[in-house]
Amino acid sequence: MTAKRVNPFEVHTPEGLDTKSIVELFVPEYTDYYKIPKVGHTFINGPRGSGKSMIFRYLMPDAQLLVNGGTLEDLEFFSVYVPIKETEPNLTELWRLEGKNANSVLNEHILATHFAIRLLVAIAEIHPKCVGAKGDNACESFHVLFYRLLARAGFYGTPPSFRQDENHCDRFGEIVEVLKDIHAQAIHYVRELSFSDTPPMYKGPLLGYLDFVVPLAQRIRELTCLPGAPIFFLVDDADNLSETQTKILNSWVSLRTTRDVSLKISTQLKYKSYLTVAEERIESPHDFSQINITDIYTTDRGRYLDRVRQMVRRRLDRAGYINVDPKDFFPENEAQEKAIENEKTRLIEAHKQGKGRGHRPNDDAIRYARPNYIKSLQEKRSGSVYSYAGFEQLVHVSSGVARFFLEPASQMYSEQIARNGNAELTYIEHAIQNEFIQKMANDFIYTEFSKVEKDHEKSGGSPERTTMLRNIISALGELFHTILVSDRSERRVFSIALTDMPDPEISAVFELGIQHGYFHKSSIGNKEGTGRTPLYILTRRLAPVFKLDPTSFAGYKFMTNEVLREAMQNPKSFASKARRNAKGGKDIDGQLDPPQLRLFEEG
Amino acid sequence: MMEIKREKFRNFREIVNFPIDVFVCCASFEDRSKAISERIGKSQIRTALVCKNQDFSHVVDDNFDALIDHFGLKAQPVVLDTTAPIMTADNLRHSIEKEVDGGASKFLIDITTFTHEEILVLLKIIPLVVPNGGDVVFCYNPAQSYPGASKDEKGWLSKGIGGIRSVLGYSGLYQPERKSHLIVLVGMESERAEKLIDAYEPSIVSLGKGLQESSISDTLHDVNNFYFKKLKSKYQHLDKFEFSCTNPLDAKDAILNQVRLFPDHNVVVAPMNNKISTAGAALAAMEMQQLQLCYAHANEYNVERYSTPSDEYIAFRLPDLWGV
Repeated sequence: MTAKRVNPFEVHTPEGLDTKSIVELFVPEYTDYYKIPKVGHTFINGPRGSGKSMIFRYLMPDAQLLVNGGTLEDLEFFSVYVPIKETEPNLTELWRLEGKNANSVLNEHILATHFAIRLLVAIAEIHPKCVGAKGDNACESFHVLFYRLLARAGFYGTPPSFRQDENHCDRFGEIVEVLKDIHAQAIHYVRELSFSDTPPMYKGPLLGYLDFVVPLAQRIRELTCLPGAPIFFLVDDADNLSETQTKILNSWVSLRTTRDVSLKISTQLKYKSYLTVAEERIESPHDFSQINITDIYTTDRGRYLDRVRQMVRRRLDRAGYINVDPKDFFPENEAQEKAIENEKTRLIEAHKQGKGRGHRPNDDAIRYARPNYIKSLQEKRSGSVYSYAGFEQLVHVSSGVARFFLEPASQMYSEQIARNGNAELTYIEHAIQNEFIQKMANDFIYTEFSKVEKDHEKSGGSPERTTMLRNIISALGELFHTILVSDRSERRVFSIALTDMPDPEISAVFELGIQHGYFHKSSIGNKEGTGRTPLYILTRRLAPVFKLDPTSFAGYKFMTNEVLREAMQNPKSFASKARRNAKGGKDIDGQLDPPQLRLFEEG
Repeated sequence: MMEIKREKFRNFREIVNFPIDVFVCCASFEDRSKAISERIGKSQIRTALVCKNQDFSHVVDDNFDALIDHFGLKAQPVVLDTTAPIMTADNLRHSIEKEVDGGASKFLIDITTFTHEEILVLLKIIPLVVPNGGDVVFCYNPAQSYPGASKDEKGWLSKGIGGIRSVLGYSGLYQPERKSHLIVLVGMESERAEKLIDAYEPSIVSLGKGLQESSISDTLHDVNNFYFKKLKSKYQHLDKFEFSCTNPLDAKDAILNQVRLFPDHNVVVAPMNNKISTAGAALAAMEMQQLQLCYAHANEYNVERYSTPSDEYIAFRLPDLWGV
């Protein structure tokens, strides 16, 4: 009987992770992490599971001290985590205020107290001696400032009195309690809105960002052991704010407060608006910088592979699989890989005999061995199917979102445990890997997509748009498969670029696809060399559905709006035309100017 | 003292003390929305408030029309909308208030096919508009079966969640500095529960399972158990507990005990089991006001194969609504 290990791939909520675990699990290398801890407002966009919350957790003072050593005085920034939940602070009762003047004012008050409480609690918790590091006078002056700011905001409570011999720093906790009371007062008021036709009068103080949070943050730095460190508010999952609250946060972004306070805002690509309360648009790079997490994958797949390899190594180590190579833990289908190796050898030999297509024999081996193998399975009709097992393929199929590697890996692990019975688990069988990754892909295109349709419709979107999205996914998936098993020189295509700028409808369909994870977006130089044009990349999560090779980013196709519209409206006719053209040796969709460009050099 | 009766319908007219002033029900795509109404004669009531969710008109209109026909001129339609909680609450409140203003004091409320959110709102509205001492009986027709649900991956009752929101009147008293504790009363719709947990990302998850001895039937309990295990296998680090599906007060106690296990957390409760335990969640939130109740509405329901009515009903009064 072997000792029961924890599932190494279980997904944890970063909020619940202790400092040691976060430092052990997070892989800052190979990411855009290092762009975030700089002064300035930043939006960090990425789908759920792409690691945004882990980045934030890693930026917290406890993790930074463990990673970098030193003391609080050495911190280059002081991060305050502000998670935004679906129902906090976006309370349904607040919807009653929509269209009323009080709406923005009360919502700003709730957000301001929310942020200020997180700030003060973070300061108080980080180190007992931090508050008071500058002596009693600094604490006294902070008390004075705090109550003066509150008085200006309409707080009529009495400031506490201090004995002659009493240290003001010892009573810092009272300040936090006062602020909690003010927040509770607002929430009590919100509750009164529940079943009231006419909102009752709010009689409490009204705090704001510029007149309360910012001056408080400025003075905190003078009060505590944080000498020059700017405050970073890490606003996690800001999509969960109401539209009014979103506009308030945007108004804060538009203010030039970054010397003291920077807002680091994570979104799941469903951020409600970039307008401020004054209906002005905040823009990058003028008001904020922007990081799109999955861009790393679409621009440098090697970095993503390295990152997941590191991440998996760390997780395996923690689970007691010391120094186990992820490739050994997720082995490939040996027979399949042997057949592909044989094909590589054949292609290299053919090249040597003058029958090659690439510059070097190895180019042909890399470009054609796997597609030829997939093609051979199709031609044999033997019932054999291509296997997506193997660490690297699994990473590619996760398409730049770490959770899409971890979640199926966790299920594979549980399944392998169940099948092993009492036998020690040392690797995941390739058949189990393939079974679960196929299931994930099928769920994504069939089950998940019908939810996207309902979701879109419920939020007032047109059903035609989701139909067009379903069609373009299907048309491009089939087209890319046709190309893969064709005789073209570049067969591993996952992306399309537009010869002209996408018209608004086509653009909206792709944006919907990006929002729900069916496409990634990047850009490339246009054909004329006069600027850039959008590049839409089909998610590799769908590779098993359309029998595509997930390991390459090499090719892309230019298409016109007209062709894309046909694919969106009549995918079957589009795909059969592509198949006919492929058989006749014509250009696949009849709309392209060969030869195609390549996105990356294969290595 | 709360009294709960679980009886066969053949005794319905003897048990419910007719005549009553106002009967309240909600049309649904489920035939269960008519199970109790069909046992009530026009002459036994003064008014029937027949609710319907207008965003589901395409699938509920047949049953809505049947209910309106059944009660004839005594039927008063009340328009609700699962995507507009404020409008829903206002329309419910105004229609009940109007009846109370007209002298009504004796209510029979069929909670069978209201959404969980609407039941919670009703339980808040009733003590606000019906004076203490009013005579309010809640009744519920348990499902005989849920044909769409099965002990395998193929079964489904609903798909996806269109959004998560706090329930009007149950916003709780969250404290910004606290971590979150999500309590899910798991029912037949495990996917909805799974999406909720994923979206909420709480520090602590408590999964509640209906007690076998209080379950409506053994078959339902087995199916329920299958979904519970499925969730448990995905979220290994969670706390589990059991609650009653037939007694709101017992369900309330189970929820409150679970809350007390993790003090100093913002607690959000998602009642996703039957409507009786949902009433228990409402009572828990009324007793412990810092609790928030949330509702995750589904994107799609298995309209064709959701539930079938049983030949029995559960009836109870909730004097606690006026006492907390």
